[in-house]
Amino acid sequence: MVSTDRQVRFTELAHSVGPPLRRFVVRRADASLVDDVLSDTMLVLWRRLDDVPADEPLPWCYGVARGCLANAQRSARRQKRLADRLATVRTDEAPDDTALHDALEQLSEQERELVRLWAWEQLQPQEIAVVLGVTANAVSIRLHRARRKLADLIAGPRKDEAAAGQEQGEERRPT
Amino acid sequence: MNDDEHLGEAEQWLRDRLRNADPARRDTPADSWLDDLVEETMSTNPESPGRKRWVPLAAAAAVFAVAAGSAAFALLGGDDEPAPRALTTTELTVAGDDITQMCMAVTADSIRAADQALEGTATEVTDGRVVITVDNWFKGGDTDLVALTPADPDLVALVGAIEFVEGEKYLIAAGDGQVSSCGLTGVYEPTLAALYAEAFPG
Repeated sequence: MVSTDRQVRFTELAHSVGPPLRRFVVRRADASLVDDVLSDTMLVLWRRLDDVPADEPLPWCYGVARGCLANAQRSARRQKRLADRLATVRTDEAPDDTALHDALEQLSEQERELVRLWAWEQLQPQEIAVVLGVTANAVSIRLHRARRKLADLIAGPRKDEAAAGQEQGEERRPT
Repeated sequence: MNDDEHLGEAEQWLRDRLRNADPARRDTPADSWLDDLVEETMSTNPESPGRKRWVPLAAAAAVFAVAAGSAAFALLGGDDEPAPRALTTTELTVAGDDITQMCMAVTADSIRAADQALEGTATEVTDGRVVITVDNWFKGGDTDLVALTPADPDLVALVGAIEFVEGEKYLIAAGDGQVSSCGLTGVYEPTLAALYAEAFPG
């Protein structure tokens, strides 16, 4: 079969953004949802190929994946609660760093996403702004707060545990 | 995309710790996952992805037939799963006017323009009534269930091309309390799901 120009463009885009998009989804979704979310995301990119920014397409694609992921997670949560017909949303797999994951859980969803985009996707504020549809200035301010809050949350329990004489397992945060 | 050199020690420590806990480090997909996904995606829309999905008239009639119940329903198996109790319900009718209209193309814009949009699973199918357990409200509602009933009982005679089957998942759009036909509502399938995802990106 001869590939059309559109197919060639899509294939190039998919190979460019596919691996980071997969990591983006894996970081946020239960394993049972990953394939579906990726499939939905690629379908949107395929259909909206002409809308994908030629320059720096990845943040825009993250935004698409984020929407598909939100839909899938809402669907899975609702269906689990009401019909009990889908697999659970949360993974039972133990996180590597319990203290960190506990601290992340205490952030708001917005704060958590800012921190993830910064640390895991390694985006700059202006790129995070594209993903979230807010201004870069707002991202900078909120990200700064979120990082500080996360660091305090990680450090906080250690102080309590230290006061109670419990064992300390995690490395200390620089001050 | 790397600003490590501009980070203070505390920020660098936090980022390193987050990276060490990155769930993607455990992800080991098959070597061919991306090629397979690209192929699957392009085969889903083998023509231009910008093409409009043209909805046959039969699909429009189908919704009426489904809500009208009786012979159009595929009654599956005597499932003893109890109907949800004390759950909130949105009542929607299935309009019966002007079923001979030619349908417009289904687009994300037309889905977005609906008053209500949801995806859900048919959990109760009886004569003249379908109960949808809502998986996700995209727009215009927050109830647990949606009940579909025919606006006009005479529409029972309109046998359509789709059936509401218990356990099947559907995408449903509605306006003014009536289910939208013309392909805006249908069995959950990737192309329609992608249009809904495009219409309601989050």
